Amino acid sequence: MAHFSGQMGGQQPQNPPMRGAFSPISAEQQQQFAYNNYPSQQQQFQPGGPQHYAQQQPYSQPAPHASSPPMQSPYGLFAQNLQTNQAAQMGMQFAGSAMNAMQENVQQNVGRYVSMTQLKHYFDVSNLYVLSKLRVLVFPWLQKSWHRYAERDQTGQVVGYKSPREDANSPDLYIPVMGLVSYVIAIGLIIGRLGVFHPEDLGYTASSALGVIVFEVLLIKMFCYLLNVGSELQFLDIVAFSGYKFVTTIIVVFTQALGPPWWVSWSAFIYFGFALAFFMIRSLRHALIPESSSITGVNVHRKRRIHFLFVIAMTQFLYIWILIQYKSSAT
Amino acid sequence: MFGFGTLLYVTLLLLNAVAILNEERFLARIGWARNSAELYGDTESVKAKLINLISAVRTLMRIPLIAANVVVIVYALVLG
Repeated sequence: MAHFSGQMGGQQPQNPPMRGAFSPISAEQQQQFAYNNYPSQQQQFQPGGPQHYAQQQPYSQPAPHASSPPMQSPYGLFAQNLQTNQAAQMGMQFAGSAMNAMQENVQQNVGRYVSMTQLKHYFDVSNLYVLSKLRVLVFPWLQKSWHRYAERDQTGQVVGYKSPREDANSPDLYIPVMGLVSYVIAIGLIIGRLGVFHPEDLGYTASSALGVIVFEVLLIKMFCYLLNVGSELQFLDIVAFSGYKFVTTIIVVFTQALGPPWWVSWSAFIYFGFALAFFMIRSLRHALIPESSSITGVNVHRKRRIHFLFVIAMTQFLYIWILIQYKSSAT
Repeated sequence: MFGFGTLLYVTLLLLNAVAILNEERFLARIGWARNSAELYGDTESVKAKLINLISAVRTLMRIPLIAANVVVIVYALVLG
């Protein structure tokens, strides 16, 4: 089975040459190709995939008869019918072109409001990044350096910041999005354990979480405008930093649900609140409070910005407190 | 409790409050007038930016606020 698994994971789908619906290939070969091609056909539902399906390269079949066990899988017959049925092939081509058109439509409409390349920069994460970021959120004093590395183009000009894959201090949007969804599911779980779950509670929770995020982003954006904080703090950066609180909220909510003594959940709330406040202060310090030698012409009110940073950090407590007041529709 | 709809209502009410501030009767009295002489040199203090923000909201959002208020009033009347 070794060479079959190699072919299934490979990039190049191997198809038999198109000889029409009634091709006199031997049944065994056909079943082998069908078994090979079914998983790779899953990969073919991409834009441009089914077009390649029509223009195939000649296959190479290593050792067909010697080491092939009899294929009794149900997928073999299904894929066999897919290949020999003209209507099914036309259907797959149509699906491919429909998805192409849909993708272009979405890109045109959404691309006018948010820049897709900028969004992709925020979702460019790796597993190591996610783990280290979660660790920083829970134990922020372990992080030694909070410096964000600047991305430079060919001439040495600074064009932005490095992506989260390369820089562990760069904010991303993956953890906030996952945190929001996990928070909604966690609240659903806890309400279900209490026995008073209704499906609309998920909607209420999601709306409440979105409301908190939108409120905080709008507040920070307005204060950034008033304090002349310009391009150091991008809009999506603010969204990312305000979305990190879901990680700590989920932890606090679970301690609240599982730990009967009241001091357990309150101490968890206070500890994780301070951890998040510390994280926000250290992360936003470089953006909000520039070093004294860098900016000369702009009137930078250092004290006001320091107060602003402190207010941002302390309101995280308020937001976490709001988010742990889940009220189901029944109670 | 703190849903998205509540947030929309709150922002609508706050924008209404900012939009109905009278320029000459109120803002000039407390020195937050738009065309005051002190603003021409200094456009970056917090007070100047706040005054700019208020006047921008009043100029730009009057007509969309009329539409948004009508929608919310109809919604509140019809659907409770």
